[in-house]
Formats: sequence, structure tokens, C-alpha cells
Amino acid sequence: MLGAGGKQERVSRVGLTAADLVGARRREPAAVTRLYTAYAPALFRFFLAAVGDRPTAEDLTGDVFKSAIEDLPRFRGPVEALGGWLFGIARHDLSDYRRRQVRNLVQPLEDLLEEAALTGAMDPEELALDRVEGDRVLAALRQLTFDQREVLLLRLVADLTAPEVAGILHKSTEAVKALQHRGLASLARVLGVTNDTSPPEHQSPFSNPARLTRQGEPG
Amino acid sequence: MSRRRHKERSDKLDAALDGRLVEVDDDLAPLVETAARLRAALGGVELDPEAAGRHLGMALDGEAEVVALPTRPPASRWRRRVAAVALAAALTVLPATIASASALPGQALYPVKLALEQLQVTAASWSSTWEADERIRITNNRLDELNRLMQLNAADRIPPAIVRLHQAYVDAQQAVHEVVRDTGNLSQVRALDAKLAPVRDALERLQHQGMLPASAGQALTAAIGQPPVTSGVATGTPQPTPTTSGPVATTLAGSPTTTQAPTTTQAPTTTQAPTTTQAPTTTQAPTTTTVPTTTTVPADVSDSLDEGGDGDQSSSGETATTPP
Repeated sequence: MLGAGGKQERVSRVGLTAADLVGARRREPAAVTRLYTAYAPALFRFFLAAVGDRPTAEDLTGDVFKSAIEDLPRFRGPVEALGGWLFGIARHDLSDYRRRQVRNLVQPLEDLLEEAALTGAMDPEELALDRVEGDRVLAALRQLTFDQREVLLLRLVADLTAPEVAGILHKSTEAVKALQHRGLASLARVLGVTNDTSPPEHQSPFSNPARLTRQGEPG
Repeated sequence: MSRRRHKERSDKLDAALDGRLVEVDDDLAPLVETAARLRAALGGVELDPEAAGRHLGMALDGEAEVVALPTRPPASRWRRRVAAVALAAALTVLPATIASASALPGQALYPVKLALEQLQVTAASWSSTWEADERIRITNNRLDELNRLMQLNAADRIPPAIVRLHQAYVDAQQAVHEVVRDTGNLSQVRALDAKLAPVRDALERLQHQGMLPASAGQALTAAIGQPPVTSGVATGTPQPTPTTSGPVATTLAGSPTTTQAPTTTQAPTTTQAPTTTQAPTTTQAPTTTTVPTTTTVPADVSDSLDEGGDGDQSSSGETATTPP
């Protein structure tokens, strides 16, 4: 993208530019909306996976976004660093939320998905299929260590890079990659994912690693 | 495993998770698949547009407070629409959104595609005609996805795709009925129904060709079993008599349907007055089976199920081909 002076303008992984950042600092509605659209879905899923309660996840998402817009004038990094900064606030707010919780009331995923069905987010048949799989995956996730779970949520649900996760968690990138590796290995064991589940002629798209990595690629 | 080797494998896994092209061996493949499962577990969960509108309102109005509400009063319809229009406009220009246009069920960007469609429907809901048009476009999207899933032999994703297609078809029909109620403009309704008819035709051909898994049959029967919108209209209003003896097409499923201008009129058929072909959609009644049939399905349609696309469909190279 070309900037005002004909200079190549950098675009962040989620499609934001430095001009968006400047506009959002000034609370220009279009820029604020672009910023929200770029990050709110990932923030919401991050909170949903962490707290398991849709209204709470929505409120936490709103909280983070409001705080971020208020604090944006103090953010000095490039637009590419915005995601890490935003999820740093999200992690901080999540810690606060957990501290406030007298008891950890986690809504079962089944209820969560039922809510999704009621809001028309998914069709019934797919919901039934996803419920089983989603329930298994998130239940398995709870069996990991706190560090592993936090890394996987930030890396795969929030879709941050390993260096960004490292910045948020104040760890080295290598440590994050190692936690990610161990976490996924544990998760695979719990879920019973092996490398020989299907014969080559009936491979699902998910069993083709090359294709899978492209599928997982965010736009 | 040595420390260095372990680091190499962690780096390779990280690269694969970022979508970079790396060789994923048998040890890493299950981990990559596990990551995809975790992503998919939450991939279908979307932020409610109403909540999004509220959040944006709070962010733009510094005095607003974020309060956790056990039950929320429903936002007014205009507020939802304003939020939807703003979000839809913003989403449209994002690269991720543009990329999501071709996303298939099960892919990371598919929820983005669905969310954008919902926003666009909400944004168009001020006009029943626009909303119907939007829903018909969504129906064509579902058909396109089904085509591509079949081409990929993604058997596990086909039944849900058919359920989605069914739902989209029913929603579109209902939206067209709304147009009837709102405007009473039958020619407009027929034009909308004409856009929907190719989907019906394609579904019938699909079923007849036996290209679907058995589990999908029931859903498909339900989908194509929905009566055409104009047949409902006809109960209260006399329908114009077709001005030609043709063009009545016979689908592969054997049930006669009318041709849908303008696409079919380009084929070399016996059509004598192609411009009038939108009207006789009610000729789907069994009595018309005595009409001499002329297959007016264009040659290029026989290879594809989505000839009725509205121009935003994927290339024909991605559509399913008929089985031998």
C-alpha cells in the first residue's frame, strides 16, 4: 500500500496500517471500527476459551477494547505490534477477572454451543458434530499445564506469532516454542491423534500437513 | 533427543503453525493436526453483531461504562443496522475478509465469511427486496461451497454443507415471501424467484446423479422439496399464462422446470420467446409433464451445479463434475 508520500506503507498481519493507528488514536469512527474488526473476534475467542462463558467473554472483549482505545495515545509501537499489546491487556484483564472470581464457574461447552445454536451461529447438524469435537478438544486443553494452555490460546486462538506471545508472557521465543511443542504433544496424546489414523487413499484434508498449514493460514 | 534437535523440531512446528511451507514429518503431523482441531473448536463461535455494536459505541463514547449484564435488553433494530452497516463496510476492505470469500467449511476463514454474510443481511434488512437478494446470493454461496467440497471429496463436510444449503434456501424463500407481503410486486418476486430457481435445479440434478452420500439424501430431499415461492403467490393471484409452448426444461431429475432467463436462452434451444421465460415458474406442476421436453440446460452447466451463480462465484474450474 502506498502512503501519502508515495512511500510503501506497511500493513500488519490483520490488514491495519499506520494510518489506521493514527486514526484510532484520534477516535475516528472508521479507524476504530477497522481496529475492532481486526482484533475483536480473536479477543472474544481467546476469552471464551479461557472463561467458557459467552456473556463474560463478550464483556471482557468490550472492556479490553475500550481500555485499548483509551490507552492508544500512549502506545508507541508500530502497527505490527498492536496485536501483542492488545492481548497483553487481555491477559492482564483475564488475570484480574480470575482473581475476582470466588469460585471458578465454568460453563460447560455444551451450554456454550447451545447458545451459539440459539443465536443462529451454526446449523444444527454441524453444531452436533462440532459439539462433540469442540468439547473433546477444550476438555483436553484443560489437562495441560497453565503455561502450555496460555501459550496455545495466545498462539492458536488469538493467532499471535511466537515472538508476540513471548513478549506478552515475558519469556524467550524459544521457551514459547518449546511450551507450544510440549503442549501440542500432550494435547495430541489426550485426543489420540496419531500419524496413521487414515490410509493414504482416504486421507482427509486435515491429514495432509502441507494443505493443513495452508488452511490454518490466516488471511 | 538432543537439545539442538529438539529446538529444530520446535522451530519447524512453529513454522508449520504459521502456515509457512515446511516439510512436516510423521512426528510433527499429529501436532499440526491437533493445532487445527484446537483452532476449529472455536472457529465457529462468532461475536454477536449486537455486542460488537455495543463495544464500538463504548469505545467511541468515552463516558460509557462496560457493565456485565446478566440479561441484556434487545438493541433497537436501527442500532443493530447501523452497527452492521459500519462493520460490514469495514470488513469488506480487510484482506482477511476478501480472502474469506472463497473459504470452505472447516477452514480458518470460513467463520469470517459467515459473519460477513450475516452483517450484510442485517445491513440490507431495511429493504425486503435487498434482503431477499442478499439471501439468494448466500444460497448461491452455499451451493458453490458444496460443489467444491464434493470436488475435494471432503465427505465429512458435505452433509453439514447440505444442511446449510437447505437452510439458506428456506431463508431465501421466506425473504422472497416477505417481498410479496411488503411490495405486492409480483414481477419483482418472479425475478427474485428466477434467481433462486437454478439452485433448485442444481439440487435436483445433484440428487438424481447420486453424487451425494446416503446421509445427505434426506437433507437434500427436504431442500428441494420446498415449493417455489411463486407457487405460493399463485394461490392468491392469477398467474399469467406462459406465452410460449416452451421453453420447458427437463432437469436430470426428470421434473420439468422452466428455463431461467437469461442464461438458458443463450443455448441453442427451441425457445421462441426467451424474454418471457421468467413468468411460467408455476409450470412445475405435474400437469406440465406432457409438454414436449427440450433440454435447455446449457452445455457448460452439465459440468457444474451452480450455473445460476450471480457472478461472484468461484471459477468453473472448481465446480464438481458429473460422475460417469
